[in-house]
Amino acid sequence: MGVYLRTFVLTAAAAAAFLVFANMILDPYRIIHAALGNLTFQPNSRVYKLEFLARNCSNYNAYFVGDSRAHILTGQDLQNVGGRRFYNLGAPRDEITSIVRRLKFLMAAGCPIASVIAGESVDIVSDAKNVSLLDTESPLISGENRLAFLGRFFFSSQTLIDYLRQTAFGSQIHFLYDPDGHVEYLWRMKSPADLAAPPCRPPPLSAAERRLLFLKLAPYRELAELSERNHFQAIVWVTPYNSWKQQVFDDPDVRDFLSQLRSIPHLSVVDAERSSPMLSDFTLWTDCAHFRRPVFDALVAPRILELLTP
Amino acid sequence: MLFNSFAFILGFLPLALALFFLLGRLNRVWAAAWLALASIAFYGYWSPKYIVLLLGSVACNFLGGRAIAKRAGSRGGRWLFAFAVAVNLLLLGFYKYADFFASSANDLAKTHIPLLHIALPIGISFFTFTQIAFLADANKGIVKEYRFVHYLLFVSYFPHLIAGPILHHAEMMPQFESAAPYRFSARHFGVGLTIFTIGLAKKVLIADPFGEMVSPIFAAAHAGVPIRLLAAWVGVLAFTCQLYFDFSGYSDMAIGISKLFGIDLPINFASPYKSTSVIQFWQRWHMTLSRFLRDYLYFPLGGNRRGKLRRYLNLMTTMVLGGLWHGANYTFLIWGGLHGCYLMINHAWRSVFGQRQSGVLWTLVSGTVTFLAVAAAWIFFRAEDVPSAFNLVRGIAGFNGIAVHEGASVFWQGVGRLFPQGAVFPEGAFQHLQFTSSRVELAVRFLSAAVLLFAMPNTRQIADGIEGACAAHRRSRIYQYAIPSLAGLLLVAALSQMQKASAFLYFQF
Repeated sequence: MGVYLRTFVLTAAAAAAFLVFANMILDPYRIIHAALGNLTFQPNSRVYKLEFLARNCSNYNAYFVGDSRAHILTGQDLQNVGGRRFYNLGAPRDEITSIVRRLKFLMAAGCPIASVIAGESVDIVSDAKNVSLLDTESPLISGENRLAFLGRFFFSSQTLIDYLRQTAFGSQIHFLYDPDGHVEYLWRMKSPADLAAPPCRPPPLSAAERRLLFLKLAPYRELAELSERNHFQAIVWVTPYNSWKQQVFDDPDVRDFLSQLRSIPHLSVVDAERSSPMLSDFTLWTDCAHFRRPVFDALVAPRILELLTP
Repeated sequence: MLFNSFAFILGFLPLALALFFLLGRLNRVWAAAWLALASIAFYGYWSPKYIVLLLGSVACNFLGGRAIAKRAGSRGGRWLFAFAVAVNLLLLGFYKYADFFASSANDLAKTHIPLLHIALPIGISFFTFTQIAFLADANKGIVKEYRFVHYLLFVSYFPHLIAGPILHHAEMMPQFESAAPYRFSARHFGVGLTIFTIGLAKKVLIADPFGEMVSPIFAAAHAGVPIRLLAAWVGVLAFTCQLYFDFSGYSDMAIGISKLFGIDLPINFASPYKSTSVIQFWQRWHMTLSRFLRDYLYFPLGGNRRGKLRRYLNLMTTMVLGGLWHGANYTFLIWGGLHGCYLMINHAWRSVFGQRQSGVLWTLVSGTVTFLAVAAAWIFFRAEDVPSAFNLVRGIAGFNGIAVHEGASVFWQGVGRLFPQGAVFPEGAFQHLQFTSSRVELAVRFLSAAVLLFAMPNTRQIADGIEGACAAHRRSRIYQYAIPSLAGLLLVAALSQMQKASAFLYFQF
């Protein structure tokens, strides 16, 4: 039986070592390699961006923050006003509590901050308990043990399988990552029917989501206080919704949340125009949740530019 | 702490094992006490406040059992036994059924009894039943004198504490008292690791992915969305697979972990979906619960000794109470009742036609009918409430429509990826996205489950093969290299899929 146990243990150890080695070389989530250029597999933006800024933040003084909708913005969208050097710190399903923690980390590291432009998606409220590898916070922020953190990323066969399936077997490229942190989504809607399909009509917020929505107010207040104390401008823009998703604004809780958000001192809140024909033009939407850059440039950017001091 | 978590596999288990074998070399009672202490810590990890409840229950039942055993056969002993069982049932009833009975009374009699909303102490159904069996045997005078530490370990032993298998003192106490488990054995370790690995793989690689399919479909049914034919069948069959792989996976892990300590637990599953009758199904599914219900409920009710009518009544009573044991909900009552009906029909069939039907065609037909009957009953086991269960029943019968197109609820947004194009959403709705999984993936998942369920040996057969080969000192390359290599690879495959530990379905009972 000793042979049986020995074979078992040695095989398991060899397989585990191979898995870790393959994951470290390929690094699907770009934990130890930079995330740049065309990518089929979405990297973990939170980790690589923070690791990058920890070394290079003196090159930037303005930040786009927010979820995947804010992730596409670059300094050119705001004409690099006042010589600001923008970095996009957005990440998929990002939320304001983590954003504030990251900003505090940057300030503690001595990074200059003149402006923070935060995208607010009132329909996206996430429960921090359900965190995927894609959304895992950097250990610099979470304080997680680094070995446990790396173990989660590099001892995952599912990640490796998904990565190989998406990259090695002729899948299309979905993302173009830029050094300034912004990303281009490379898929498109193909017909007006896509924008009118059932997934583009959201269900009303659940009771749990409503509770989480109002929990966002406290970190927004913290952001406002930080901006006042550290003399930077904090501007929140409410993300545009396509014409079928606009009903989210009819929800009394959403209206109440936005009204409380607007009442926070030292925080400027910008609404996107809600009656533009761009909101029902499928060519301007990547999918039902994500607008393309022209929508932001036409419906949101001018209003932010009015507020940004040169 | 879940068996399928790194905290358990890399922290708790190695520590428990190391100290157990270390102390076992010095003093067997110390080692048993350590294992009992580790088991209580394991329980306390879930809910520290219920440790007192567990220890109180163990102490009272131990003392009660001894008192009953001393008076076995006397009137006083019988009264004491009745009292002790009543206290156990009251405790279980208070935690598990108080709100159910109160809300039922409020619904039926329009009363206004306030609900208590008490959190169910984890494992209470299991440790209560284990101890009622002990009391019943004490009353029959077949309980030996046991050390308290062994009794405490018997009830609280962590591999079985949360979700079984339901143990019998007669099969556990002699093992705790013997010297064998306290010495490290490479044979036990090898077999235990293999059984644990199979269980972990069942849970992580098969049950959990099926669970991702099941949840949105049952949630949609609960929300009142009419579930169409295809989606209903996918939901029901996926849950049929999920429940088996989840619960038998848990049982395998429990048996495997216990084997590492050199202690054998009774098997709980023996390829139940290969059954060709519902009678056979209950001889192969959750076998330790079936054994308990047979020995401590069905037989005391009279079993089959008091005529056919009484036998059917006893069967129905046993199955309905067995259903209610799973949870305080009308859905479990209906599930138990359905199986009671199945068993009555099965026994009636046997009494008319005998048991001699055989042949491949007969096996195929009876196997299919049994599987479909069991799968249909699982709808009530899984559904949130009776209306959503009937929504799914209508769905699998095609009464909610066959094509799944227009007006699909947004609930399907997540589910849509799992289905063939056009099955849930209109053709092309998702073509612009690259994240759709193919219909091939769905087919592969069900086909692999079917192969594992119907064509492969079960865990016990595999483990017996390994143990037999080792005991016979067979120098077979298959047993020495091929099987342990496969098991080692399977362990890494399962561990590397454990990104988030998900609870076992039977933990809620």
